Amino acid sequence: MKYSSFVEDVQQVKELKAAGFTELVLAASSLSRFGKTKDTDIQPIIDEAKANDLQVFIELDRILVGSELDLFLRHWQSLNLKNFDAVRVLDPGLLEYFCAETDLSVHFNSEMGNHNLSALKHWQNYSKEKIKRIILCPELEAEKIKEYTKELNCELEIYGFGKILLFYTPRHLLSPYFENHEDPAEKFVFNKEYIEILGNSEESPHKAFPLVETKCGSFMFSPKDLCVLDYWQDILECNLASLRFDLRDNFNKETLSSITKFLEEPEKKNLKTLKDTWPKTLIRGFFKANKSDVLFGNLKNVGNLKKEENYLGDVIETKSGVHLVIEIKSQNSLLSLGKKLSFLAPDKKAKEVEVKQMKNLAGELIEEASFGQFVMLPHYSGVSSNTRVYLV
Amino acid sequence: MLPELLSPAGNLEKLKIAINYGADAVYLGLQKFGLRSAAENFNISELNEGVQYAHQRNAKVFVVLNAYLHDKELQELPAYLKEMEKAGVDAVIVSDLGVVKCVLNNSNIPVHLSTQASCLNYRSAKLWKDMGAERIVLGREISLDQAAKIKEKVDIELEMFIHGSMCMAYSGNCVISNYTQGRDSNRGGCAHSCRFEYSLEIPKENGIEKTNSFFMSSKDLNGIMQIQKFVDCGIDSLKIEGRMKNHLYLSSITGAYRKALDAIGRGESLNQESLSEIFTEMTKLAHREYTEASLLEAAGSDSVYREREKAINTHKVVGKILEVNGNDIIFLSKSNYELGQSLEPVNYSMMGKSIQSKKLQELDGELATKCKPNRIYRLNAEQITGLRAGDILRTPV
Repeated sequence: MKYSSFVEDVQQVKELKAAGFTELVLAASSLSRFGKTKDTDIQPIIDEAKANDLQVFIELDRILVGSELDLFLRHWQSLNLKNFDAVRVLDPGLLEYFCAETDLSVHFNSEMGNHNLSALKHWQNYSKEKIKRIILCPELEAEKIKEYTKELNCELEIYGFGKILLFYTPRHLLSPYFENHEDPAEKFVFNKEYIEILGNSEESPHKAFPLVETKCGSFMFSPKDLCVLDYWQDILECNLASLRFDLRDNFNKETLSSITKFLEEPEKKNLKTLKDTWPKTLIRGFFKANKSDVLFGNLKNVGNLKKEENYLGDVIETKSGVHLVIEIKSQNSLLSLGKKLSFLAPDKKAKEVEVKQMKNLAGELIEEASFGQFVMLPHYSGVSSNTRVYLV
Repeated sequence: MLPELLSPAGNLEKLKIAINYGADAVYLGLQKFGLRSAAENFNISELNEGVQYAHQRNAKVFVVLNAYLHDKELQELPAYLKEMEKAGVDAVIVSDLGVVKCVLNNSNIPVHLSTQASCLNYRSAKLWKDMGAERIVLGREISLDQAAKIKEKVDIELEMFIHGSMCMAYSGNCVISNYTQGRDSNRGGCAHSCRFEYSLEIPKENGIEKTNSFFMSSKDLNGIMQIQKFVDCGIDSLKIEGRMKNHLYLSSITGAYRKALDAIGRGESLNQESLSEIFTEMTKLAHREYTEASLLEAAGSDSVYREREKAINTHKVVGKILEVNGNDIIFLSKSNYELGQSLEPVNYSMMGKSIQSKKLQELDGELATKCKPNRIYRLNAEQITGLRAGDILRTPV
């Protein structure tokens, strides 16, 4: 397994190599959604990486709206970059371009969604020759990744350490707060390279969300950073091609040194040192267990309670001691005098009755009623509006 | 050719309302595989009934399967697809490539790519067409002009949102709920964290200034003033958001777009005045402030709330008409309407008219002056020609 890290300038190349990284991801501000590297620094970084026998990948992780795609590709072509090892794309439009019209190796970023093997296989099959690597979604569990590495015939990469992106919009949400203005309807043109502030919400259990705005849009990050290194044995068993680190927010000698120590000797004490040097709280994410849909059962879903067999309709009105009204909703059912009905109230209490008399809404006596009609019966205690009615 | 008008159907009753108010197609979720876990949704017998109801009225039914599925769920999907195919579902709306392939391999149901996939350029549309999609629901970040260019370059049906709540993020690119609430937003657990109030720490000359703001909360899309442009750009389907919204919303908004489309279909030119009249009707319900978002150009800061989100509420629902017998309207009450208050039908053939009534009775004949919710009333009224069973009644608040 190789270790990859983002690189921002030429000086960082040797430091990252010394720390044990053999793959560098280069995120330029014109190519990557929140990259900072200037265009003039891209080729020198690539050259320095190659001089140090490191692989270097160009991050193209923007989503491109309409004609932005062609503008982006024109800019990409104008850069005329050489000697890098792969491009990394998120937008399927860029995937299509690089697979159809270039000979470049492609890493496909499947981080948003793609929680099943079938999806990953079909992404890989889109271009087996060009797609060399799939960057997996951070919400995947280790046990799944172990299965996937056996089934997929391309390199797989996971995110191991660093800031967690929560939200990506093309709208410029922060720059209006940096302008001196009064008119809320006024439109603002983004004129800063990079805005980074913190945001807190009383409605969220978490505090101090890092918020970033670049010319590509606005981003929210988790207040806590990701570290899956506690599960080192699982990581090894995943048989990955690469484990990615993002040290951009805290790139310094102390961090690099503690990472080097851990990668050389992945022991608890070295991991603790690394965690102690990192300024933010670290979480393990979903690598060992993803239970993010367990709570769904608690969400209101009355449909789950519905019994289908012999369903006739619903009680839509009751007047206590006087009458109740049923709307017949089942197309194939006919209600007639003498039939038995079962009422299932919202509180789950059930009651069975025989239909001895029924009226329409005009108050006329009727003998039968079918789909779309409304039927008035005498009221039965315990039956309220929204009670479901079944033929017995 | 006129574009299809596609409305949400949160349950069977709403499906019928949407179709009665002029939807050419509805989209709905089943008990699984959608992104609205908290919605009532449909079981299989309701699906059968809904499809039958729709097809009898030449309307189509699309089923939303736009969650990102795990392997185990994907194994359960083929059996569900068989049921959908048997019911006669006209298409499924999907965002996960694994689901796309599962649908194609296990059924003959056409696949529409969900907006969750954030397909926003022609090369992406081309890729998804190659993957098997027959229609693309474009991301809400794209303009009508840009959508038309996609249509020129890729021979595929395009659907665009014309109305409703907006995701602030590129759809499918938000996992706030996953990490803050333990609920997967791309599998139906969105906690709407973008609607929260945040305190922003803004650096100023004198230090950090804290500003409270709903900076991530988008105003709602309203595309009525651009409806002719939707048609001119060749958009195949105009989608209304809101499977969780109420009857008044569904009837008012579906009816409004139907009225505008029908006028275009008759060759009438919709001027600013006639569109403004329809727009006014669309404001007669609880709604957020409206924006045209990115329909003409990239959404600016005026599309986002800075201060507290203000729900504008000019009207409330009174009830739904069950039957019309001569001068009697029999309706199921949904609120505390009082006799004498203005009463308006949501019925675009009676736009601007109100119902005059002097007598309100319960079903057993007991006279009433005020309605209670979930009770049926008989209202004796005049000039009610054009009213239909299923019409929604509203009153100003």
